Amino acid sequence: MKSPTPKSEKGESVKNIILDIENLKAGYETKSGDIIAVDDVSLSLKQGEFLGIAGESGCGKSTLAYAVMRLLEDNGKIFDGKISYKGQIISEMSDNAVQGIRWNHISMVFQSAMNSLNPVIRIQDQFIDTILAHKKNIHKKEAIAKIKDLLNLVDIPLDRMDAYPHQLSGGMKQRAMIAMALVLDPDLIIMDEPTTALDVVVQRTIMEKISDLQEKLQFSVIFITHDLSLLVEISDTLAIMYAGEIIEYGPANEVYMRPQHPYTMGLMKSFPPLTADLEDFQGIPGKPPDFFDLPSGCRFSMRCPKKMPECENRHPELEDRDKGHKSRCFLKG
Amino acid sequence: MTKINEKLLELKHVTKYFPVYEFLKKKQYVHAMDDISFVIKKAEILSLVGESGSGKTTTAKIIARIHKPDSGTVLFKGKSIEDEIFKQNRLFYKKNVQMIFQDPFSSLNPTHTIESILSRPFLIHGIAGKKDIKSRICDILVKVGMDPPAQYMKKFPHELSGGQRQRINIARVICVDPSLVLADEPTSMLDVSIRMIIMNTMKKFRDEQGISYLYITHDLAGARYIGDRIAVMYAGMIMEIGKADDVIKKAFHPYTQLLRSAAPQPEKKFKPAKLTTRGDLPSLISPPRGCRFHPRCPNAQKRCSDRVPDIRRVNKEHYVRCIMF
Repeated sequence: MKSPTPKSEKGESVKNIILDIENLKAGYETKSGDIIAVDDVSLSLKQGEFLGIAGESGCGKSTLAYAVMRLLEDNGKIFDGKISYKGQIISEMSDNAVQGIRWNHISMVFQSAMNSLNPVIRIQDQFIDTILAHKKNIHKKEAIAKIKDLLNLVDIPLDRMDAYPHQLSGGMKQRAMIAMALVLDPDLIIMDEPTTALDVVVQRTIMEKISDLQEKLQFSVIFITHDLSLLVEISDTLAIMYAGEIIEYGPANEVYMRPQHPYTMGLMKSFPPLTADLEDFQGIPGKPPDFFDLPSGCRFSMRCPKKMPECENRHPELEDRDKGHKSRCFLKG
Repeated sequence: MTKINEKLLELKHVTKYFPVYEFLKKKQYVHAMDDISFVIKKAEILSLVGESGSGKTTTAKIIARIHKPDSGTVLFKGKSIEDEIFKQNRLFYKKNVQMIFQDPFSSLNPTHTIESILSRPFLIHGIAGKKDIKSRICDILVKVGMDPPAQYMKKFPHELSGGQRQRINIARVICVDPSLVLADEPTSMLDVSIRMIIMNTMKKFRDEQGISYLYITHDLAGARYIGDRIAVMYAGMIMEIGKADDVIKKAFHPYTQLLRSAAPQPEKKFKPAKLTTRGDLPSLISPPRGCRFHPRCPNAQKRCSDRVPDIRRVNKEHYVRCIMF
C-alpha cells in the first residue's frame, strides 16, 4: 500500500507535497438519498503551508476535514476520489492502518474545544491517554516530559497539569487542545473552527500562538472557519467553499485583493472594516441550495448578483485565472 | 423625525451583584455591574462592547427589568422604571422595551408556527384585533425581508435557516412598535454572509421608525458599523464611551486599544502587530483592587491598584475611566 514517492508531474515542487486530495466526493448516506457534501474537491498541501478553508455552515468544509481524518460518522462515506498522505492512500486504508496515521502524522483540533475534553479526567491523564493510544512503546516518564514541554509551548502553567477541564478558562482549554494535537509531532494539523466560541482577545492570542508554533515546528495547517477576516491575515493559501465545491482557490493575498468569484466578493463585503471608511455593506441575500435539490448550473446562481443566462444551464469548472488563482465562474476578470 | 437629542433611557450609577453560595463558605458576590451610567437617546444605536463575562448581558437584563438593580436608577423617558413606571403600567414598559436574544435556535418555541409566534405580541399588547392580525403579520414579515409572507406563515422554526429565524425574532420585536430594542449579540451565531443583512434590517427600523437600540456585541468592527456611539465594558465597568469613530480611531483606554489590536483587520496588512497584553478577564467574585484592568494593563502604575479611577471627560462626548486621563 505504501509507495515511497508521490507521482511527479511537476517535478521539484511535488516533492514536499504532503497531502494530496484528488476529486474527492464524500458525504452521507441517508434514507432519502446520498448527500454529497464534498463534491469533486482537489487540493494539495505543501510542508509548512497554511491553508485556510472558508465557507458558510453546511458548505462541506467540516466533512472535508473529517474525510481526511477518516473520522466521518457511521453514515458518512467517501464515495469517490483519493486522499493521499505522503504517498499513502488514506481513503483506501483499513481502519487499523489509519490509526497509525491519525495523530502520529495528521492530528486535529476540533470545534468547541470546551466540549472535546473529558470533564472527569485530569488534563495530564488525557494527554497520556492520547500518547499511549497511538504510540505503544513509550514510557510514562517520557510522556510526561513531553507534555510539560508542550504546555510550556502553549503558555499553560505546569501546575494546571493536574487540573480538571472545568478549572481552565476557555482560551486555556483551546490551547490545551492545540498542545494535544501537537503531542506526537504531526506534519499536518487540521483545525476545525478552533476559535469560533472564543472572545476576540482570546481568539487573537490563539491565532498568534498557532502562527508562532507553526514557524517553530514547521507543520502544515488546514484551518477551517466561516470567518474569512481571520484567515486573510494568517493563511498562505485560501480556498472558498460553497455548496460542497471549491469555488475559489489561490494565494491568500491574491484572493483577498482580487477576488474572482461573486461569492468571494460578497463574503469580503460581509465584514465591515475596523478603521477604513464605512460604505454600505450588504452581505449575501438568500441561502445556500439544498443538497437534495442542487441546481444543474452554477450552484451560486440563485444568489448571484452578476447572474448571466448561461449560469443556470451550464456548470462552471474551477479554472486557473492567474498563476494558481482559480475560480469557478463564467465571469472573466 | 423625532428630536435626536431627546434622552430615552438613562442609567445612573447602576450596580448589580449576584450572590454566590458555596458550601461552608461565606456568602460572596459576583460583581456583574458596578457603577454603570449611560444614556441612550431617541433613535440612537449604542453599541456595548466587551468580552464574555464583562456584564453586557446583565446590563440588558437590568434595562429589560428582568433583574432589579441593587442600587442606582434606570430612567425611561425621565421616569424611574422601578418607582414610577413599573408599578403603574408594567405592560407599557414591556411593550416599549423589547429584547432580541443571541441564539435564534432556542428563542423561538419549536412547537408553534411562525404565524402563532408572531400573533402573540399583537394579542398580548392588544395592538390588533383578531381580524387584522393576519394582515399585520404579513406586513411585518415583508418588512423584515421575508417575502412572500404566505410561504412562511405555516412553517415551524426548525424549517427556517438561522438568518430567517433571527428575522422572525426581529419581526416579533418590531411589531409592537417599541421605543428601545435590546439586541444581545443577535448576529454572533449567524453565518458571516447573513450578519450584514440582519444588521442592515435593524438599522432600517431605526431610520424609518426612530427605534433606539442597545446593540451588544464583542465584534468591534460590527459595533462601529451599526453604532452611533460605543461603550466599552470590562469586568462590570464601563471603561470608555463616546462617538463610534472616536472610540475606535482615538481610543484612550488601554483596554480599548487591546480590543482594537485583537480585532481582525485584513484591510490593513497581512501580519499585524502583536498583542501587548495577555491574560484573561479577572474573577468577578474578587475583582482586582483599584482599576479592574490594571493586572493586564501594559501601562499599569503603582497608583492604579490604589483606587478605582473615575470616569472622566476627555473630549466632547468622549469619556474614559483611566488614571492617565
